[in-house]
Amino acid sequence: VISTAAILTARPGAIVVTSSTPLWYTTRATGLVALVLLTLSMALGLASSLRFQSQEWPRFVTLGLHRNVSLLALAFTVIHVLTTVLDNFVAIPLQDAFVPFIGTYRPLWVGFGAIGFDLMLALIITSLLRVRMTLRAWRLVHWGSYLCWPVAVLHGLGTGTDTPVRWVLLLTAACVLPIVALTVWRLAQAWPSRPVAAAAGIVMILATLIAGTAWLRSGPLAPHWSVRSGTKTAQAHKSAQAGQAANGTSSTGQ
Amino acid sequence: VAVAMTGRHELRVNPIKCDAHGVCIELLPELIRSDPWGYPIIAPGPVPSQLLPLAKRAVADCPTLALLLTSGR
Repeated sequence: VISTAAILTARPGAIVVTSSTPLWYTTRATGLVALVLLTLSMALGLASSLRFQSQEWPRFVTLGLHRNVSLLALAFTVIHVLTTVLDNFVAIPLQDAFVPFIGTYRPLWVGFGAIGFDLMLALIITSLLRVRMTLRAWRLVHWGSYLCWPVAVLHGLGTGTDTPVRWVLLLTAACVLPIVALTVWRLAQAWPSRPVAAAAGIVMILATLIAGTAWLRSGPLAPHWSVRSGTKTAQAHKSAQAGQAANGTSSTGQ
Repeated sequence: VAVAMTGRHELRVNPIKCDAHGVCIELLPELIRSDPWGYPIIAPGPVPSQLLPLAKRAVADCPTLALLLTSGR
């Protein structure tokens, strides 16, 4: 998606430098791969929580896959973060990857990514140290996965360059629906012992789905999202002008 | 063939924490079998060294952290 800021600041005939660097492509690609892996990890975690097993699929397979897929998801997320920081197409310093909402580029939507990344690190570190922790403490942190995954999805939809692309939307739907189904199943399983919490959970999921779809239609899928997504435009303009002054041809700042 | 022992590691289960998930029984059938209700029964004695990696995995993968590997002499 060619940024509106770049179009606005570019003079006719000027060379517009947009998302053409390998790092930026890597950021977009690893983001999508990380989403798929994180979804797979979440699904395996839920399957484990549901005590899923069969003759061909013992429980240790679910757990082993869950662990390895989670580590792989972290690896791709680390690459995603590093390429985002190293690429100078948009100015996202390293601290923005850890501390949410402090940046200038789409702070809210990049911030959700930071929250997800922090949670991922906490989830993986506590799971690696699990045998040295109390079950209670580990479980408390691991409940964070129910926040980590939705926040990651929101980050992807809110700031993903490729969100409006049909197959990316379909991929996101293919990630969201199984997790919703498995979580509802998990809540239904908890119904007999905790009916209020289970009902509240199911209502919250449905409300989030409806609100999320409405937001998606009026937000990232509606025109001019790059303008409305909260990038501090004054700064973007300034850096764009500085860029033009520096080399006379290009403009930056999506 | 003599079975090598390494520092006499022993497996123990905490029956209060155990919730009969059965993961340890799947991972280490050589030493852990199931009772009629799915709870683990652990073979007495030290863990043979060649089974130690699996024993460690069973400990790490126990959903309720009810399995312990002790290195008592």
